[in-house]
Amino acid sequence: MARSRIEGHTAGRPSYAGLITAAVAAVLALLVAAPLTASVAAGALSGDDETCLSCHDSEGMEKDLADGEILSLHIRGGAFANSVHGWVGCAGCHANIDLGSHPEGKEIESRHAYSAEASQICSDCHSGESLQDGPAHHALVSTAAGPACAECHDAHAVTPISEWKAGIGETAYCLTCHGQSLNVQFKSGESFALSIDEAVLRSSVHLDHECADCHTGFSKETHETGTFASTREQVIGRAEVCRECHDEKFEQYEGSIHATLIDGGNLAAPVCSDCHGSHSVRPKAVYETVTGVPCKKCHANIFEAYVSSTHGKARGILGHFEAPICADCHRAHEVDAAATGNQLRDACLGCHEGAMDAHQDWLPNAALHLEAVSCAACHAPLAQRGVELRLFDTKAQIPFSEPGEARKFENQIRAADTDGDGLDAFELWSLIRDINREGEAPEMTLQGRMGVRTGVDAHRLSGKAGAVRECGSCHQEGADPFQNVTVSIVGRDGRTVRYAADKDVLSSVMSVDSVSGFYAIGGTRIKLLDVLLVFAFLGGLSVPVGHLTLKWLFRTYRKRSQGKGASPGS
Amino acid sequence: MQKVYIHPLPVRIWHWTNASGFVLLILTGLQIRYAGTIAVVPFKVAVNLHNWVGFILIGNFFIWLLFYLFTDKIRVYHPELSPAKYFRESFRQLWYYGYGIFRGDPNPHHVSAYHKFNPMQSMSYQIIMMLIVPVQFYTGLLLWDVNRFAGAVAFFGGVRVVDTVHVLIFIFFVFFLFVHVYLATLGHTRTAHFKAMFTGYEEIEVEDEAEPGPEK
Repeated sequence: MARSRIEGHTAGRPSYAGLITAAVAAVLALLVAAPLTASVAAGALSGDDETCLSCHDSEGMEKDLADGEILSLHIRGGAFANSVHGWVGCAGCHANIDLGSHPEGKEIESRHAYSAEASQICSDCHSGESLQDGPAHHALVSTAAGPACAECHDAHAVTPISEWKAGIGETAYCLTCHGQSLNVQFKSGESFALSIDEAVLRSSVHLDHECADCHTGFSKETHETGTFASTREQVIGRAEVCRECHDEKFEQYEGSIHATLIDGGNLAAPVCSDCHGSHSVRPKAVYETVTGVPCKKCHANIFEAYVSSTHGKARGILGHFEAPICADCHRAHEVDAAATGNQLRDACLGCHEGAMDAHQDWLPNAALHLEAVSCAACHAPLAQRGVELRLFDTKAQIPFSEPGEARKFENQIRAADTDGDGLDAFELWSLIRDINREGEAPEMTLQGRMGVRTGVDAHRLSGKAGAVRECGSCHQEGADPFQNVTVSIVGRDGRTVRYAADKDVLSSVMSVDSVSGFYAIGGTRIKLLDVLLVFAFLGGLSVPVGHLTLKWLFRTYRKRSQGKGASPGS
Repeated sequence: MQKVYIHPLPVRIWHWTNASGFVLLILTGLQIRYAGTIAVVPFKVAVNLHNWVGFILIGNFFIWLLFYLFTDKIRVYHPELSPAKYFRESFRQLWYYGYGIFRGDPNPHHVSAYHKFNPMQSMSYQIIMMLIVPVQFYTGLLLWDVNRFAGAVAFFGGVRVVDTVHVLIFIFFVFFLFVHVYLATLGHTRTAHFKAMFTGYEEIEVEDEAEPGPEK
């Protein structure tokens, strides 16, 4: 269908030009002579308006704008006539149109710019005071970047507010403004988009919800003004509402490392909407795909490692959806700090049900290995491994994890490292002695766990065939894992805090007490015992050698003595 | 020379099982501790062999224990209750090994079925058999399955403490083995005591005064 466009002239309707010029001139002359009054009944347009509409009530009447948008010039005469502004007539608002030059070849930047300019006249009748009743509305119209009146209320089919409100749904009411380009500026200076794409909203799993279901405190009747100081504060604050319906999941989240980080003031940690989106909440299955999983937004490097792992390949390339993705091991909502506890090992064993039996078939002390060695330490063969010595409560028989006590221990560890080059065996011994000296503190030791050094390494899991199986990779002096030693505690924010330690802490006699909870045969043997063994060997050997030597030296003396002692004839 | 039945069969079985077992434990223990430096058999084989031999020796220990508990041969382990006499006789024995033997003096200790240990042996074997060997077996058992015995391991101060005790006793037995074997050569011939431990009969010089108590 050919569309008529105004480009300084009316394309496709060349006969209109003279007619319009004459008609508009006549209408304007009448308007000046006899101003419109409220006595004009709604639904009945004046002849002058009819004249305008003789052109503007044409489907497809448009104008190309500078930014590439198209401005519709089509006015539905009936709707205008029945609008609350029908009595005003065309010239009531468009008084600036110069009939002598209309249609003029006016350059218009954009639809918003045109609406903003055209809406300026609204304030002639609708004063600022009349808008004070709605603070949010007032704030909106007071903002230069806010939508123009006509963008929300329509330019010509304006209906009475009371009628209009009653006639539309709540979400549609909200979208009247929020469907427009709309921003708010926080005290922090950040600009935050308040625009909602209705199509996105309608394609989310929350499509049947009304805005006010989540945005409590907002309705057709009330609209709070923002109290948040920044974008992040707003996102975190709004996420609280998810609890209303997803109470169980929210409670799980509240026990997570993510929530702990938020509580500790780390606002970069995620809340519900960071993973699920605020208005574009997708079905659960979307978050379980390699392409849709939200964790990669923050943990990109770890996710890359995962994608290239045996699990990532199985899921992403081969389409095996039973292969785990982030939440299968780390859990979706009650995410723990990765390096604490045994939940990751348990997650591995949860899927690999036969793993314990399979290890017991070939690995001596399999249960101990699975406890003291992280799965990744053997199943990510390219990873750099190390030993982490964790503070362990020997009375409760659990790793010590009281974030409230973390600062004290952090200070003690820093104080113990007197030369600042990492804890040596003596410093470690002093540290544990000092910690245990405090009467109320539980009795502490350090329990070791062999693992991989980084989270990225932990995700480079290979297939079973690539796993480390050689005992000698750990059980010998100088083995790679024992070259990297750290002392760790659960920090104030719930994450593991690591302090460097000298590798000799694993082989020092000073560590018998302080590192009593970790020992790898061959790999972390105490060097002093090696010295003792040499002395025992040499000492044992010297007894027969020395005694035999003395006997040999005394042989003459012995013969003489025996000769003297022998009785005649014996 | 007179043959006297000193070593009953259960004791001889126990002794040679124990001896061969201890040699195996020391050798496999050395390989386990110094894996990478010593690699006679694969590490896993060494560990499994060490464990199996350990269990065999624990069972063997009870052969020794039950034999002595339920026979009158336990008298060989009866301690000398007079400290003065004990120290006097110990000194005589020490003097013999440190001086008299070089002169060709006779051994002050006279072996009999109920008096087969000299005072130093008696005291040493009581400590070894009733303290050191049980501790070594127990620490070995704990190290065999640290998880299963986690409570006991924690009670004794952790796996590193248990292992250190186990290794210290291992070091002691390395020393003991040299001394024990050498002292066993100090019979009336180099092999006399070895033969006796196979046959049960020690060859001893005839004494005027017979030792009280039943002979074989």
